Amino acid sequence: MKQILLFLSSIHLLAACTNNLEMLSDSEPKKLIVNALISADRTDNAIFLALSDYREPQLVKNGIIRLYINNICAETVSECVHRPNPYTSVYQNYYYPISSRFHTGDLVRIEVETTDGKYKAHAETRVPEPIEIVEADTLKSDYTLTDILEKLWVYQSTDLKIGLHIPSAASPGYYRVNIKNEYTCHLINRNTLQDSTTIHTYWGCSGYYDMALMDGKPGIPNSQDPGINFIPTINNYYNVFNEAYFTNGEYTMNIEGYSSFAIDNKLYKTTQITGKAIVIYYAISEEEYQYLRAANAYADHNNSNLLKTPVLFPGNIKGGAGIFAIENPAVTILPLKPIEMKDTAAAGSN
Amino acid sequence: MIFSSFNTHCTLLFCLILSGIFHSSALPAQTTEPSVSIRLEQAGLKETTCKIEKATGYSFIYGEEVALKHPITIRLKNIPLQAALKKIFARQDIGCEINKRHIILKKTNRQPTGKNFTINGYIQDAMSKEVLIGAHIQEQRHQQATATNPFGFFSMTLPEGDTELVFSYVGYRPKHTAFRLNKDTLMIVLLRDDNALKEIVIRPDKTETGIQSSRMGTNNVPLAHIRNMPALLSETDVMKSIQLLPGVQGGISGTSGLHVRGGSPDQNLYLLDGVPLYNIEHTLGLFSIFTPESVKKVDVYKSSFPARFGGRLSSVIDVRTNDGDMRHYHGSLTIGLLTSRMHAEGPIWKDRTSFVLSARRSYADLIIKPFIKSGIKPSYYLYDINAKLNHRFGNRDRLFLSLYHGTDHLSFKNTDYDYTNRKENKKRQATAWGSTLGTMRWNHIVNERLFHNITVAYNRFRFDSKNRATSESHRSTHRYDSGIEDWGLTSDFDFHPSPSHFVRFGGNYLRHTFRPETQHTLVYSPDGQKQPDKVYTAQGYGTIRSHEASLYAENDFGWGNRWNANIGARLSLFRVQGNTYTSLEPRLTLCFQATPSLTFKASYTHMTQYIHLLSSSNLSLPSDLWVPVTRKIRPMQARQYSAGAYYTGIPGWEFSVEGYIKMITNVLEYKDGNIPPTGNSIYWEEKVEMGKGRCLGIEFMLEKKTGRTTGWMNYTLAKSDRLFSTGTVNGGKRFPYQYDRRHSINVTLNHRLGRKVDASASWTYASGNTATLPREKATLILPEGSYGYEHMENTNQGIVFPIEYNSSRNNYRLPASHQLNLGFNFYKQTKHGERIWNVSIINVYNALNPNHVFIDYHEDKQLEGKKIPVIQKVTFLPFLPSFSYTYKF
Repeated sequence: MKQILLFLSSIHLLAACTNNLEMLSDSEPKKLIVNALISADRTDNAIFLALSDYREPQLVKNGIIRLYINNICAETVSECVHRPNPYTSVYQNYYYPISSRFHTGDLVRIEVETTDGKYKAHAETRVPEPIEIVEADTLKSDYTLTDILEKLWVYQSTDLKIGLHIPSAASPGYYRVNIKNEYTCHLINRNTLQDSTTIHTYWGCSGYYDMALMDGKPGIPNSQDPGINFIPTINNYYNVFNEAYFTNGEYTMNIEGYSSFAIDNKLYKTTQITGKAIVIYYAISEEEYQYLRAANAYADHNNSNLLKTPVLFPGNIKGGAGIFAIENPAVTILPLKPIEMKDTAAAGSN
Repeated sequence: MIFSSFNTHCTLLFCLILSGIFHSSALPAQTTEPSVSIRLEQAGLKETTCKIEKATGYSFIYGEEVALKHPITIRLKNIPLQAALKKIFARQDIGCEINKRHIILKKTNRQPTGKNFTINGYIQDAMSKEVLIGAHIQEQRHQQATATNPFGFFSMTLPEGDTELVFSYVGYRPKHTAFRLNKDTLMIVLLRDDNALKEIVIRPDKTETGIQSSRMGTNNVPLAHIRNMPALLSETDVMKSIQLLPGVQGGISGTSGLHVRGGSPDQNLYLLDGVPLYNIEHTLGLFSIFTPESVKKVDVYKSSFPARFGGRLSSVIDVRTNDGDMRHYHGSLTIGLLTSRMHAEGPIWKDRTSFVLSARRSYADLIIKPFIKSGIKPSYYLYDINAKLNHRFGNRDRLFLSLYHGTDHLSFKNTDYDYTNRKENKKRQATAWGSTLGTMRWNHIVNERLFHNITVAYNRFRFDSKNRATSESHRSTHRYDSGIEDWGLTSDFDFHPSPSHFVRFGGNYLRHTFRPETQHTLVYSPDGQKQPDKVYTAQGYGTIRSHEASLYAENDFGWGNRWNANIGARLSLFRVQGNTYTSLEPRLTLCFQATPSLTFKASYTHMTQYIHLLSSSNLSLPSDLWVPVTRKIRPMQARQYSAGAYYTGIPGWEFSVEGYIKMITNVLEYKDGNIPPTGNSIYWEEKVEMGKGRCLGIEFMLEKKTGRTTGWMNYTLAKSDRLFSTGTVNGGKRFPYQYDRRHSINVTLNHRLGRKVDASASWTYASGNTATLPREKATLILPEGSYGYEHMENTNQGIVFPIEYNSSRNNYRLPASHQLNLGFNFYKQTKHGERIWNVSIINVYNALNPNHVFIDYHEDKQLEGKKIPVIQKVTFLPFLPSFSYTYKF
């Protein structure tokens, strides 16, 4: 696609140049950004607050959040927790913990304001009904072991067929899917000969061969993309879908779970690796569906490309921006093909 | 004239008085009437009166206005004078009165019988027999006028009696004809090209376009202007000339897109010989498909649409092509920097059948091929073919067969080497898109007052893309195609029931076949045991068939000397997937001529559009998809009110001012964040929202139409915005349309420097259009287990990180843009024809106009470590000279 655009641009535009126009003015009023994607089955959820700003968003540490479930105040949170993590952004390291438990059909409302009263926002959502997983099969599973720079790299991909059923067809359903691959590795310390066990978690889910996940256009995996495709490949990074492809509330989804992790092959001898694929289907609100589609478009966006339309994020925060949504998961667990360890010093594959 | 007539009458009266005075006193009363014997052979008035005077001794008295209608041939023997005079001047409209010894002759007005007769026929070029569209027919005695229709036919109903007609057409010598109208008359009028007027002369015509027509918001774009204007790469283009009209925005620099009075590009109805076209662009809009050599007439309607037009909201671009010279062979050959084109026309059967053939092809692919040795090998070419056959069966019947076919073809080949696996990977991609249009048209003069045109048309636009990737371990082919196909039948009638009424009526049927997209992917596996081949097929909505039918009628009529009106209506029907939409579209134009040079007009127009173009980009792409309305997505409708004043008091100049308000309903936009990749129509209804559009503006136009220097200057003050109340688009807040430019000025000039050189210039100024810019930064959250960007890792609390944030649509207004273009044509007569060198200079003073803006981050010198957002502008088309060579034979 890029080559096409370059080529057409060169014909079309003959010559183009880029110049500074002006410095962006700091004229936009600040908005309270409320971000929360809450899982209904957990009690350790988080709400992230920030203010939009000219150069960088500002953290909001003086926020007060009141959470109502079915019009009853369930909790009020005014403590901004700091959990340092060098691998995540500062905006993620400060959060407001939510401990309420949510049930299907609950009407959940939050009211957010800063203690100085300058910024206020509110949002409302309903806990969606979870989808039913009626069938789950492993179609194919391959793995590869590669020893690179004294590390044993484990790659595994698994094709899954998941039968889905929407219990209630009364309202349009929106969903997303993800696969958490959990591996238990039994190791022996080469120096001390002590046994140990490590657990590796890898989120990896692809729906390139599925009609619903590829918006009706399956079979153009990025890895096999000719690279000069005039019709851009559809990406669905967050694996959202709706019930448009369901027939009588039933649908069979083809997804691929994949994972990749490394073990210190110099220090440990790996004796056994067993894994399981935790397939999670989240029922989500329409607002979250639209929000994640926008996030998907944002991931593919390039501001300097004339052909790319700027992405506006929809949301449900009144008086501010962002998203407040509650996801209701349905889970199925499938064992992964065991990884046979022939000689961990030498890489192999199957 | 008045004085002359007054003097004549005074003289006559004076003579009568004198004769009365003198004869009554000097001569006795005449009591006996003499007999006359006379023989006249093709005698004129003077000879006749002399012979009668000689035979009777009476003398004649008459004024200058008395003249014989035809010579007199008569033989009389001993007939009393009174009776003889009656016989001699019979059917000459001359009255006789004997007073004393004088015979007084007076011109008499023949009493009309009350009957009306119709003059009809075709106006043609005397040399080529090409019919002339929009030629002007003026009846001098009754001050009636009409013009030839798009098929060169005219009809005018007049009362019985003497008639004086003047036929005129731009660049042709006017023809005067006087005769007595006493029966319906069929005429084939031949006008001769006036060499003296070879410099650009543009006269006001009285067709449906122009100031003096009963319509408003209409323009005829003169071919001379199209051919002479400076052009990008010297590729003269119809659309670029239309962009210089008031109320028309051109979109991105250099492209042929039209945004008419705040409307989007898919709201323009492009007609090629009356048949709708869906894609009129080559090379992402760099050129239009209309080759100037094959074009005969271009009319642009922005409001006050004739009832026969429908199906789009904002404009009608009616392009008519040449019919072909019926007497002589001639043509042209043009060699340009990007394309070469040829044109030939001539008789197949002299005065009966003619042909036209035009073709164009680009050769960038051939030029760059030798220079690309390795890596990606791109190739691009375009071509057009226009062909037309025209046969005249007689004075009443004509048959036209025409064909257009045009294609853009783009391909890439790439071979790279996989050093890890020591294998070669081959990739190939080929994309082609274009239109094919076939038309059969039959013109028939049913009777003197009724003209009939029937058109059968086939039209297809197709986009096709094929990819193939081959490696040792993998092979896949991918094919995508989309398109739209129409079969159409149109029947139009022109009816002249009375001198003051011109009625048009007819019907139209279109059978659309939409193929929004079909996609096949085949992934071969070299090891069929391990992994079977996979075949994937996706077919959007599949093939959708729909039926669009319409009936229309309109009456152009006048009352009194000052009022004119055009009242019409169009009843349209669209049926798709079991849903039927109907719409009654009234059209009304009122015209009041305050003085001979000052006219006021007002109009109301209702338009309905049943198809939409799904476009995911700022630029018009061939992969954009046409889709019909559905049960959920209703037709777009526009109601336009306009009023204007027109002044022609200065000879050669015209001034007009027009204001308009256009309200659009059910206009579509993709929901926020829901813009799919281009060429994707699957569940498009779920991704769009219907809203309202509001467009208003005022347009001033000053045009010089005659003389060595012609051209126009116009200024437009306009505003256009959109509102989607559901909140899924721009949060439910009103936002400006992308090409909402508040002010725009266009100046265009053509000047004949001599017989061998002409020069042209155009200067445009437009205040900035809008763009969506991230004017602030906010935070984004992704779901658990998702991967973010750059340094972001997956966590158990989701992913939160800063992003550039667009708070609203079209929230930034670009600076104004302006551009000067110059063009020169150098003519030289050669032994067998004429050669023309064209030199065009685009953007003479290299204005760096912004076409696209985005944010980049620069180091802040004051705050170390901080970055400062700076708006970057992308400029296309800097100073760019070009030339072309044309040989006409």
